[in-house]
Amino acid sequence: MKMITNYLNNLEGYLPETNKKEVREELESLILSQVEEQEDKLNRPLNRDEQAELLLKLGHPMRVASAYQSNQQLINKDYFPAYKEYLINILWIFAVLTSLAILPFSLAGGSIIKGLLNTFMEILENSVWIFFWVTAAFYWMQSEQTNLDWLYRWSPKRLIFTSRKVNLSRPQTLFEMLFEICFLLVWNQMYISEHSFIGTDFTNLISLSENWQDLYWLVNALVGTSLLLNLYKLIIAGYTKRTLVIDVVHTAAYLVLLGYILQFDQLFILSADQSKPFDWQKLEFYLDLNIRVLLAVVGLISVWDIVTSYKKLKISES
Amino acid sequence: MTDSEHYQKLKLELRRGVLILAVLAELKDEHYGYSLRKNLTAKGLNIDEGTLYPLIRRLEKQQLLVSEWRQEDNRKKRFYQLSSLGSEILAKLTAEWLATQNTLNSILGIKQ
Repeated sequence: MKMITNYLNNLEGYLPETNKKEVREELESLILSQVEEQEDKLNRPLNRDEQAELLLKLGHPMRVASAYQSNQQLINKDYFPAYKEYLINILWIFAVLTSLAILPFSLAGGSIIKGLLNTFMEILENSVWIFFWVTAAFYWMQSEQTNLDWLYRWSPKRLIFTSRKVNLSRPQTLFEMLFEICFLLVWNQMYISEHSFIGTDFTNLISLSENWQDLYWLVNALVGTSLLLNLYKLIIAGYTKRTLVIDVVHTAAYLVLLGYILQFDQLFILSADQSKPFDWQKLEFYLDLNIRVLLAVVGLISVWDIVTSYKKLKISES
Repeated sequence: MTDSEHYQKLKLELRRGVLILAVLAELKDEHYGYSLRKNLTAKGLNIDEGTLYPLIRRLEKQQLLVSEWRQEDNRKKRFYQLSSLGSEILAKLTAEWLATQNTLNSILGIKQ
């Protein structure tokens, strides 16, 4: 039955959000009815080949799902699932190729952030062109009423293994990504230079403690992988069991790191000009408290994130 | 497009409207998707699953059918039946079908 479950998982990924669960349940019940009937006739369970034949008769998951779609403006529902699939795959291939071609040159400039931004802009520009050409190609095929069979050529046995997806809020993921990009920018800037602090009257400088600076690459790696994971979730528009497990492990790593940072005696270095009339000790105390509270809040958000990921994991398994 | 592909496409177009009539008529009695398909096939109307199941849902959305999830043989199944609106529409479509059939027979020169 693994093949049938995988077929249904794949199909679910192409169904419209509004009736995804209901259609899946109904198709599952219909497929199982056929399986049962055939098993009764044969007086034995269906083998892999027989299951594959049954699914082949039903059709490619994309094609079956397309019948449940409402008509699209530019690319009609018969072509739309194939169009979406091809567009995503081509975008991925070009993103990887562009990164490989551009990134070394962009990074050679010296600044990692600038290099990454340049590469990102290049990928964005190429994506717009790819979107245009793939859409135009499918629009032409649709106008010519090209036979769809070659687009939907498939084998149930070779269908990519897909876990059941749980819906994802795209704005929330975009917000998370934006937050992570901002954090990376600030974090890398903080590491590189010291910063003037509390207005022009004070020339005090604040920088991260040595202990904390030792974690520079680890923090970059953790936030960077989280950014990539969010990008992947944004593209597939959902969570799978695999991404949820990675999410939980990743957030747990965040928590460990936060706990490690919180036990530092010194979180920052305040290079104060002691000749200025100011209660530096009090400032240092409140700054330390502020940072610790901030880290604790991030820790609580991480715990909440683990709990919600766990709940989603339960849904994806149901 | 080859001649055969052209023929298949036109055949599908011709059948499309007729299928709705057949499904509505068959659903005077309650059925779930698979039993409906089997009944239609037994009566000589072979209908692709990928066409039938979305069609039933569409008809239900148009309130021509009513549905209910029920447990049968240890599994949940969704049963469909004609609604009162569906019955009215079926009566009108049947009359329309008979009139069209007469007209077409006359145009095609088929004696009844």
